[in-house]
Amino acid sequence: MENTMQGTFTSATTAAKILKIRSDLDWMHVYNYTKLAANTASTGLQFYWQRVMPAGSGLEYKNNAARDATHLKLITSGGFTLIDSSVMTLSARMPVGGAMTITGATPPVVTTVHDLSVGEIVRLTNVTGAPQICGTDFTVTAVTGATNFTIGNISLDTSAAGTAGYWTRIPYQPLYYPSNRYITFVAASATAGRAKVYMSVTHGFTVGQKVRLKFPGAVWGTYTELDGTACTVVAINEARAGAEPNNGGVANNIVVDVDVSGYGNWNVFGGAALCYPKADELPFSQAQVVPIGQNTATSLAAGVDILEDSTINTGYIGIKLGSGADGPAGVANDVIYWVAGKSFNV
Amino acid sequence: MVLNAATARLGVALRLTEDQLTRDMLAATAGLINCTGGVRGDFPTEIMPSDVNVVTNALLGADARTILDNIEGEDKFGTGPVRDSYFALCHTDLTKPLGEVDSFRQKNNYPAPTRALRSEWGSLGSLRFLVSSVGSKIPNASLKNKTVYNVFCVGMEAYTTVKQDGYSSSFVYRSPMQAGGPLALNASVGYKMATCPRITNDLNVLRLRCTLLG
Repeated sequence: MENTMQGTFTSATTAAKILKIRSDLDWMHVYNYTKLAANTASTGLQFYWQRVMPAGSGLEYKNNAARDATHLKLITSGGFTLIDSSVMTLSARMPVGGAMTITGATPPVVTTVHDLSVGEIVRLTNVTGAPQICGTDFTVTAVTGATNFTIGNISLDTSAAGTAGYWTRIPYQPLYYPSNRYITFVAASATAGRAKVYMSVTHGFTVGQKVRLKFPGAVWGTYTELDGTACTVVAINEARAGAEPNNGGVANNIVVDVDVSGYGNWNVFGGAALCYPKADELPFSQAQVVPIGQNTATSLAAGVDILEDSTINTGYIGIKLGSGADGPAGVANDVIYWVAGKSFNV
Repeated sequence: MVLNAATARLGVALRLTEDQLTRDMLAATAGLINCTGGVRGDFPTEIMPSDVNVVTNALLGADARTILDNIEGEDKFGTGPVRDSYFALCHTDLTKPLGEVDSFRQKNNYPAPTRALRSEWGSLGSLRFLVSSVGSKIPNASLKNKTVYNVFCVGMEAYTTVKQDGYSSSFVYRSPMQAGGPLALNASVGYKMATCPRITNDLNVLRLRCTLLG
């Protein structure tokens, strides 16, 4: 009996739900309490999965349209998927043949066949015309159907458009938090004497953390004077302005106590408009935000835990529950109960 | 006999896990410098002496202390002196390209090869390269979709592992009588550990990123 676990959650959104289960699991039952109570038609009420079933699959007990019987059916996608976040393998890059374009704009829009969702991370490679963004990870900030996605944490205003290339889904983050991030843009904050630093991937920094700015090499123009500068995060995600990266949602930046007013606009190395280094400036080293510690006075003043900078292994094992009427995670506001366990053999 | 063999393997797994966790911590948090001195057209490029100079200058500029002493030159054919050096921790895949870099000195060309470390491959400038099959690499991360390798260039006391007082790891064996199960069929053997790698001086450790030749 001690080899079973159980729990409950309320689906906050229609997104898949990840349960972190450190003791691992070999089987799982899921009950949609909300839909059972309402006896909802044409909806999954109970789900079952056990190890060795293919990723994304499971069994579903589904109400019929008349709500007078349930039927057992097999789901082949959007079901249960085991996760080990420390396993860093990538799927094949897409699309086959490299039929992909990227606009030289703010925000850059990628046109290609895809199945990405907002918030996922992609890495671009072999981009013709805009190779300077290759190898850098970007958070997907918008999706339009299955043919366009946006990498809105960078400005490519003065870059040539990308005319071919590939994208790869990056299903994991660095194993340890806090991790360093690539800088894509720097602007003066609305508060004098402060800088607003944008990063390519959703950053995760909190107020009070100490970071070091890195601008290695001449490609970063006058900003190389800031290379190695240690500073404190005094605010996060300040509203964007002007030509700053436009991700259409919460601006992905940190505000640090560094005065950049004397360094000129971000265009000092990028060209006539505000932008990232251009294709002809390859190869270079990316500018970075490197976490180095915590300013406890700032943290206390802001009511933030003074141990926010702690180095934490974020790896986990668990299971992802697909969402929707036929998914074990249900839809928004569904109350879900689950029980899982280990077996003597598999 | 079986238990002894299992114990030996578990010991290797324990230390390997510690290495991998430390590797992943450095990969996540250390500042980076891309190799740019190569000529093969990838981004980052293959490692070149100029890249080693860049990272060495950065470490020197941060007052990082070297880890290994110099090896004085001797009157032996094919050998040359080795500077006091920083560690460069990298993947075994880099052994071949390193050997093709001008001025790279294989450890058998040291005046006193016995002073090389077991895992050492050679030296270039002020870096002595230690290789491991679990060295850090990032798949599909270069301009040309090649693997990017992290070479952790570290000075003295740049990072550490934090352990609890009186406890770092323990080996646990439970005989079939203790472990339970029907008819005492099952034994249990394994290890548990508690450790946390941490950078202690971020300026004294740099991640030099490079690709392979070709």
